[in-house]
Amino acid sequence: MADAAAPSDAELILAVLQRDDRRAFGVLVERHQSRVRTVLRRLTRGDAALADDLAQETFVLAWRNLKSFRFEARFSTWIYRIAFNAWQSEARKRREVSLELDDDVLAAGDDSSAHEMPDIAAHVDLERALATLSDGERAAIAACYYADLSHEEAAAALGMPLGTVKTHVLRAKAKLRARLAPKKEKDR
Amino acid sequence: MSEHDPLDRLLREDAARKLDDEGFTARVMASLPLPRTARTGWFKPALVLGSTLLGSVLAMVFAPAGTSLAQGFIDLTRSHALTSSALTGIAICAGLWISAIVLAAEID
Repeated sequence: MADAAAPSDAELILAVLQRDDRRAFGVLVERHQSRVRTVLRRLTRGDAALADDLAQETFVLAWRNLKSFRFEARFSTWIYRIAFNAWQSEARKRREVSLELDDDVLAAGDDSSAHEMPDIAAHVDLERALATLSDGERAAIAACYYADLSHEEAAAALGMPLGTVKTHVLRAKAKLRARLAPKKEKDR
Repeated sequence: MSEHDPLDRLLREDAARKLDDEGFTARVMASLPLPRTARTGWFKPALVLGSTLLGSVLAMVFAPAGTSLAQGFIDLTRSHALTSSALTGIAICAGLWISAIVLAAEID
């Protein structure tokens, strides 16, 4: 739970900008590291070492570019944008990352199957299922659920059209349901 | 996104799981660029201005005989912009303007 006396993100950013206060930046890193690292772990298909390297790069870039931070947006939204860019650059180095929609068939059906969901305690299965999604689908889920961005914010952070984000989320959820559902059948 | 959708709930629970810091913050802090020292504060502007002034002096030294900065500005006020003195004056002013812009951009 947040401490009521703890300085806000904006206050910490001002301390960094005005006094070059490294301790204030340390508090920001400590506050946001868990979410940023989790988002990157999901994006990198669970590669914790790579995700942590990218998270470190993200925070260093944030430090370097903090003066370009506009206070209208949340710091978290801004930092996720840097994290997504870092992941996309890394993915492009390794292979061509594609955030486009693919034409695969939705074998899993549509959102109407929401209430026939699998065992909700299956976090490990979820991690594996997430790893099987396409780059774009994984990025959309990471942005909308793990980074807690709105569809509009996710579209801006990922540099893709709003409609594409929505489609990716729908397809990803359909695939996740399909991947997690058989497990429940087997477990019965 | 619905509170009642088990998949939404599962994703939100997974996202909310806290990762221990495990030295991550310390690694980030150690990899930040070093703070600006007093030396770097004045060194770069001095370097830019010094180079510009040196370039101006060299331009004057190696300018064709009879070139004078004062004469250049007089030529410019009389709309004689193509004399060697006027061109030297324009070049020096342009150099100073460019270095001023570079320094202003650095400060921003």
